[in-house]
Amino acid sequence: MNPSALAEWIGLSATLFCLYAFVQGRRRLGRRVAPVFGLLLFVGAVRYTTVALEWTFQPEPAWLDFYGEAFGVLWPAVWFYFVYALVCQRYETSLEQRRQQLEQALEELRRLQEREVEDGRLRAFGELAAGVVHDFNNRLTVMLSNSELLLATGGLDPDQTEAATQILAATEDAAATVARLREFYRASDELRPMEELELAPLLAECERLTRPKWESLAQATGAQIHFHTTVDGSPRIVGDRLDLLGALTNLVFNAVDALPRGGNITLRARGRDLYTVIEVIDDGVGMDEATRRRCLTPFFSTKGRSGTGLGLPLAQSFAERHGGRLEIESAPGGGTVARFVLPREFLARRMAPEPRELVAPEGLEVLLVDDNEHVRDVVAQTLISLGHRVTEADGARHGCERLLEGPVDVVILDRSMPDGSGDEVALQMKRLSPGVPIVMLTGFGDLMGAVGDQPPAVDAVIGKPASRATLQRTLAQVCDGQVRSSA
Amino acid sequence: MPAFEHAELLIALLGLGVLTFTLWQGPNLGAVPEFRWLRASLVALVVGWTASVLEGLAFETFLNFVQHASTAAAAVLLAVWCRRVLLAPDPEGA
Repeated sequence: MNPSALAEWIGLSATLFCLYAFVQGRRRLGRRVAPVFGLLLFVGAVRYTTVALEWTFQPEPAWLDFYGEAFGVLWPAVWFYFVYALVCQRYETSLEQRRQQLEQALEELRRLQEREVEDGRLRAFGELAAGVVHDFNNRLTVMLSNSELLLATGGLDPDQTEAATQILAATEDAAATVARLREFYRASDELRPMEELELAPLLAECERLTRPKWESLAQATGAQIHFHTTVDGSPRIVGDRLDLLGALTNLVFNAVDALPRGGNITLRARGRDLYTVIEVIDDGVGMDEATRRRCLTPFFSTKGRSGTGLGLPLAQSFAERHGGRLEIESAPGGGTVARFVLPREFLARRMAPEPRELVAPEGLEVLLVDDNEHVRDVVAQTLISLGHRVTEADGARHGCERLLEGPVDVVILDRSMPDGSGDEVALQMKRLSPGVPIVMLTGFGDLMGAVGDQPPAVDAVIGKPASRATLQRTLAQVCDGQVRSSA
Repeated sequence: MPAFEHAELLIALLGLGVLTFTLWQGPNLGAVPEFRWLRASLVALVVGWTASVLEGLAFETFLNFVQHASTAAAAVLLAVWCRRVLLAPDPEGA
């Protein structure tokens, strides 16, 4: 056989193999390139066939020569089209990748922006809360200390005793209410005493506490709400009982609001290997996805003016403080499941340490430095009633002078005073009398505790209002065995 | 007057144009899997097309063989590319 003819038959065979491979794997070429490559192989196959026949059957027929030349010219043109399609596909792929990157960056930016706005609102609320807490606590200090003094002094008739007791209880309730504001700035790792809680009675108590809400709704609207409490096994958590009750109550109230025509609310607790799960389930109106995603944002509410938008954020805050999470599942018309998932191991570590037995001091020389006259008076009276001697100072400069005059066993110091910061005054006092413990009594006590802020020269921080017991316990802590001047 | 065939001259010029475009777009085409086989196939074709033009000037028999051998080699190189790209096992095993 003519070598040229042989070469053309080899070329045709290879091209037929290419066609086979193309049929098998054309999807890998992409939609733009595949048809062009198919055309290239077709033109090539025709060209190889005609030329091979030309060289095999000499002299070749004229029509064969014509087809050979025609497809020979088409061939480089189709090759160009093929290379061009490859380049275009490459650009398209590159553009698509960049578009996806841009979309991701945009989404990330949007998310960061939303988070920034949310953080800003929380910061503003935190600052507002801190200011309110400080001022309110100063006033509560006066109320609490005076009512405690009244009761401690004695000589009251039964009605007066009852009235003073009620004032004391109301003041403590008010202090607890104010303290709830700190949920927004309390750090998750803040150490606070926790107790082991049996969930069955706690859920029963939650049902009892919320009963007026869902029963009154039934009476007002005729809507029947059926409440079910289910406890699988005997799950327990280590936590703050009031915190958990408050969080569950909020969730149950939300469930009631989601049932305007009645329905079922299920309060369920179960223990898993590593987690304890507590769920509040309703079969009410549910939430759409957009609402579900925003429902944990502070101040976001679908209840109009009747909602504060704080219930779910507080519940989430509770879960986070316990090392867990709050999950919300919901669908329009399909009800809502609010689920606390609390890790057991974390909770076991949070058990309150055994309190050290402290010696209650008596007869201490206390230097009390506070610019608020009412607070100073009542704290001084409380300290006196506890058996201590008190020297008062109405500001930073006056406090240092009194310290130098001595003798002083312990200093109780406000943090925010017009003529000097309590932190700086404490440092100055420590330099003057290194052995004298300093207790900071401040309306910012909760906030400082939350963020672990204890000025370096300060031995203890207590928040206002401080009860007699708190004052005495703190003095015992800082002066344990170190009473110097009392005699 | 050299014995050029117009069709062959046109094919060779087109082929050189394609090769130039391919080399110019090298950085983009480098992302095409196993592109070196495609490029080799195109080069072989262009060699064949050029030989078909030059055979009218000198070494007719030799250059004619080179032309047919090059086009055959181009098809074989293209087949290698197809084997390595289109018939390669799916990396994900799908």
